[in-house]
Amino acid sequence: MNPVPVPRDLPLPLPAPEPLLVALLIVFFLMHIVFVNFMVGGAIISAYYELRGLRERRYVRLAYEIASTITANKSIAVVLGVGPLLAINTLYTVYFYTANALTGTFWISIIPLVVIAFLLTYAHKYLWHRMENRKGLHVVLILAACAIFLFIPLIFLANVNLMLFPEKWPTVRGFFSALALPNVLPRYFHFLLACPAMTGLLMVWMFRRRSAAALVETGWQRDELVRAGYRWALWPTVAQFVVGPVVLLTLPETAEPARMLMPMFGAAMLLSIWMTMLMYVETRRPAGRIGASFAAICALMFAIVGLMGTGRHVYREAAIAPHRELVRAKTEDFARRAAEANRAAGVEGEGRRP
Amino acid sequence: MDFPVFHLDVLGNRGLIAGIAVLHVLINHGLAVGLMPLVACMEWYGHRKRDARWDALAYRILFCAFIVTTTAGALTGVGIWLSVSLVNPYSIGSLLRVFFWAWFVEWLVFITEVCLILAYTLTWKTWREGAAKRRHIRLGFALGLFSWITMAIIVSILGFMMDPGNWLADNTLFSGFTNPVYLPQLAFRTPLAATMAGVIALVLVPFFVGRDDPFRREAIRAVAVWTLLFCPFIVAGGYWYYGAVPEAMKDNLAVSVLTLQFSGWLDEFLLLVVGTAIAIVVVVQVAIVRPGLVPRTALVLPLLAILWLTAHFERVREFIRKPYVIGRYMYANGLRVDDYALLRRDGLLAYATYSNPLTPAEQASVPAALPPAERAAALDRLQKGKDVFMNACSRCHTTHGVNGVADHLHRMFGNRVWTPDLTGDYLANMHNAQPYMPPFPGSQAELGFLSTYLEQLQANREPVPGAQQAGITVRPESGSKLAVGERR
Amino acid sequence: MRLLSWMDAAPHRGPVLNIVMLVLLLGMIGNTALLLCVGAATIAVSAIGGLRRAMRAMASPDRSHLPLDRIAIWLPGATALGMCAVALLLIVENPASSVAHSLGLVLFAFELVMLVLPSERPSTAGVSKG
Repeated sequence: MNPVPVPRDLPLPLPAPEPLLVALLIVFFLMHIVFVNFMVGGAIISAYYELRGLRERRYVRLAYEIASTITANKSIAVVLGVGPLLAINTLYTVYFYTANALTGTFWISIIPLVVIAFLLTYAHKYLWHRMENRKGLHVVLILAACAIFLFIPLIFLANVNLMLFPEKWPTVRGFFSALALPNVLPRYFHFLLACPAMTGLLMVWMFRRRSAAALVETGWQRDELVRAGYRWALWPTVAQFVVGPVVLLTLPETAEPARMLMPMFGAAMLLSIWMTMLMYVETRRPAGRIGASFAAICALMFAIVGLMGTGRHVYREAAIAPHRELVRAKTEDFARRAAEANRAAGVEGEGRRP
Repeated sequence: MDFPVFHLDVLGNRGLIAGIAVLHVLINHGLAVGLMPLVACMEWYGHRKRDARWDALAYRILFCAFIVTTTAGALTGVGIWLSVSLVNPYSIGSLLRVFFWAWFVEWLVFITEVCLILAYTLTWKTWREGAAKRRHIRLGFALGLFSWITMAIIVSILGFMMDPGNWLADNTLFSGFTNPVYLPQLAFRTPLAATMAGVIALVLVPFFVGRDDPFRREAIRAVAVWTLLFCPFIVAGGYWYYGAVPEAMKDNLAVSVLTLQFSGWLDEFLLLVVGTAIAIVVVVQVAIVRPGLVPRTALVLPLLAILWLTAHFERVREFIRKPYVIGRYMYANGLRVDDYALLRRDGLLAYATYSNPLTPAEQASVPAALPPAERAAALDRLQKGKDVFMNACSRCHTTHGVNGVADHLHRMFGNRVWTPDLTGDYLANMHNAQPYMPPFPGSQAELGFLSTYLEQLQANREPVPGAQQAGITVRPESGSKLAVGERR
Repeated sequence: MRLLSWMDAAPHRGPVLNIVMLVLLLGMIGNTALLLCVGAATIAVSAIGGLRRAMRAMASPDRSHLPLDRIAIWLPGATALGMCAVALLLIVENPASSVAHSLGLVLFAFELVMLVLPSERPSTAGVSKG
């Protein structure tokens, strides 16, 4: 029998009431992941259009328009990641840091990888016109950025998954064994599909508010662009109806039953069906009326994402609640013993060198 | 520290943090905190004189800063956090509990700063005239202010690590924030950032303004004036800062500045520092008085000099704090001062959850010819010694890499066999001989186990993998008794 | 003579040559007290000259009111004065044949030159390009 590790935690109290920290974690993580979706989706879609643009020139301009969004979205995505990191470090200190340490090489490699990816997107955007005659090389820039953007989520997913299963900690040998744990890969595909989907909605928003003069310059009609956005939103979302249930079914069993999980994901599923239908209807609408349901779609997406984030938290708590009690007990026990030993040693003030 | 032990046995764990952190400081001081006000001033100056050349130059300098700060600058900031979480999770975890709201506010300021730099850079070409231009200039100054505020907040935490001041007694965020080293350090860093930015801008100007363009001289002179203006404040702030460093930590100065090997050369080194600082001032003076005389290459010298001085200052600041990672509260090994009585009584390993599996090379150090029971006992002692090493020593030391214990033992004991009898006494009293070393945090028996582990390092030169490669096992006494089958 | 015509080419070249020769001489004599006295006197004379130039620039009709330009009038001289003090400190605190002492001498000469050397006039006339 493999003993489950029960480490001790820090003796310092939480800096804020736990519900507040949890709210911070969920809300700001969702904001972060939405912008990450925009960033990764933007890179993928821009690469796709640029490749199409090698045959049909009009797509080149579209690729440029999408590539331009990456600049702002990437910076916002990174800065929004700080908040959830703060919250998760504080709420799940033992779990998060343990997972980090066990996948440390790849965890720290996030830094150089993201820097390189960002520099590639800058090169791609700012050297666009200068590389008119080197289109092949230019496309390689964005494809390389895409490759990195597609790899990094694996590192995060391996970590946040590993942190929930203390019994797995002694079995893991580095990043790849953590990656192989259930259910990292289904979650990865779930995330991957969300990227073009969210970016599609971003495209709809962007092109709906673009001025007529600016649109003329792109060589596209407004309704063409909006419809393209909706298609990017629609088809990956349809695929989610396959991947989503796979994720749900492959979720490892938790220590405690997660009672609210099914109702939440069930509600999310229903709202998703409604939203997908609206997206489909939009793609078929004529130029005059396309975009009429955009607000409704966004509201539904907002609710779905909120339910997913909260559901995920419910699952997280169910996975480690009993273990947290054990950790808490061990921490208190250690603190008691340390105080006792200090009394016995007759410690004279702090900072004294033993 | 009760975590799986992440360990880099060649570079050393400190090296990981140092590389990322120094890069971050150089970028944020030189390209953000210092450079944004300079760029805003340049834009404003050009606007007031109705001279578009200043505007063009300011934009190009800003763009360089924009590219670097939004990639390497931002990511190394996160990188410090990620690396410290790997190397010393107890320290960063503790700091987070104390300073959570400070970091939260800092985060809000970061968001503002990111939005401002995106806006400032991306609207430069479109907000060109009249009211829009004036708005754009105000944006630049706001950006400079917010960049400074992020530094102002984080410096408090750095100061706290050196001297928590009243926090040890009353444990509030305010007392932690207003620690004795805070304002002096801020007074030092602010002008340093401005000067660094000036030196960087001096290097950039010749790239953006041709040699035959008379504007180059004007630009160089103006940037040189900016650079010189802050120099006396660096000296004043530095003096104040040095005065606020706890006395006991000043004893570490020689080793912190030069490492143990060269600590006898402190006077010569200080002369080198003074000489370098003078050289920077001299080049900048020439740039003011005869800007045409200064070739591009000469301007690179102050840049390299100030980058080196700053990087070295950061090394000194980090080292001088040892043996503590948080002054008087937590030692550099991640163990709290208050826990020492318990650990020395019961042993470090009595409360350690994890064990680091022995490598084949380590196992081979125990002779195979021994009878099985003896071999098992020897391996057990070796395992315990390794666990003590990983928990108590590996945060700062490697085996044979940077700051390797084998090198230190070699320096002390040469080629004599490093038996526990030989090394044990030294290990027990190291912290008296070297004030930057924490005391040994374990029982007498564990001192013996550690010595046993160190002994095999004399022959075994293979690097020791950390938990990120080799994984961990659970020490039998510490695991929970959850039956298998309760979790899948 | 070529040297004379070189010196005549710009008014500051004479004083600069004088300074270099003076500091060389003081360094060779090696008497710290003498060096301090003569050095202080030289600083005072040069500083007064610099002060007069600065006041004239502040009062000049085509002066710029912007902070950079006003600071640029005072800062070079103030810096040179401060650095002269640093140089004298290096000279006084270190034995005659040491690196620090020689560094101090060289720095002192350089900073005196900085004190007497006028800056090239920046173009204060507003240039409206583009």
